[in-house]
Amino acid sequence: MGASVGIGGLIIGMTMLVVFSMVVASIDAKVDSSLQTIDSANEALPTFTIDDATLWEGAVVDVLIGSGGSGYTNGNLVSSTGNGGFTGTFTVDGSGAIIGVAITSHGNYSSAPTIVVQGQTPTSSATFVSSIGNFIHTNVTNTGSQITPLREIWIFSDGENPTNLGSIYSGGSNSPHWYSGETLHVQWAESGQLPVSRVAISVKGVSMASTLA
Amino acid sequence: MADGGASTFILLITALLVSGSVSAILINQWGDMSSALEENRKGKEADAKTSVSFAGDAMEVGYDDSVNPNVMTFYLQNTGQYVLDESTLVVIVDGISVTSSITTTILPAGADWTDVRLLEVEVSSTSWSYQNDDSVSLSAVVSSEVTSGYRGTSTMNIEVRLNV
Repeated sequence: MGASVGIGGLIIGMTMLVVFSMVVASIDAKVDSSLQTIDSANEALPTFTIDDATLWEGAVVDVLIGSGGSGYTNGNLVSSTGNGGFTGTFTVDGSGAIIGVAITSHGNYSSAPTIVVQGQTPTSSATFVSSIGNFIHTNVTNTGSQITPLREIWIFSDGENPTNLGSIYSGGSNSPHWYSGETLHVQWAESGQLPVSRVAISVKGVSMASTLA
Repeated sequence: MADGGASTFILLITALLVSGSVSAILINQWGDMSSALEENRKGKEADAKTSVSFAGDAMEVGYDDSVNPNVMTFYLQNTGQYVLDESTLVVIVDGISVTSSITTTILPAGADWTDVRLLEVEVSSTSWSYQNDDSVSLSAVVSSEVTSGYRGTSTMNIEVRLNV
């Protein structure tokens, strides 16, 4: 009887060891599974399209105030020469002198247009000096499910002059993100070496390029 | 009867000693294994959160052959979650390391190469004699800053066309 008790103890001990080994193997398998999960946890890649890309070589890139004049109220600017499509706005000080100009549409001209105030009769007329340069316009659409911060998107012209989209995009939205299905109209002055033939956009490791029209 | 009781007792004590010592060894081994797995997990996590990608136009990688040595310029984007350490950058062009002649600039200027910043990389070599529109194989390896005691590593490989 005593021997059978001892053998029973051995059997119990060995059984416990086997169970312990099985638990270890099970935990080991779970850890491996967790590591594989970490490996596959990378975010899905963004997908997008460059719908069009155009280089305007005669865009109004700057408007300087030659003389602020007087007797104005805050209003709009247009071009009196050419039909390039320039529009802008201005602000005045207490005497009605123009002290600030903002371009709302750069337009496209063969030579620098004459900029005038739209629809006002001042005490003294203001004058402006415009200069034209190269402007790139492109429409890009987020065709994926990713919501991407604009500051993580970079635009290149001919593979150079990287420009952060977050620093140039002002397309009527204060949102700093590019949402699924959203089309952005992006425009920026190109001051690099000309002629520019291609534009590229890099978003979180995905780069696409398009020839400029 | 007394002999039977003694042998039974010896067998029982032996069984307890054997199972106890084996259990102690296994538990100790499990502790070591668990620590090793935890270290491995942290390393894997660092690698998973470290990522670098080519940015820009692969068809228009700048190449200046008017200077000696010739200079190749391209851009890398931090596409991971960890801050990257640009000083660990290794660049390989057509299978040859050019690590000793790398100049890097973070854009826009900042102290750290985070996920919102670009790295402009200029590499040069006296042995290059590339022409316009040549294709070259470009590879870059970079590590993250030390995070929770670990550095992640990421590799980028791409075929690019040079624009002289």
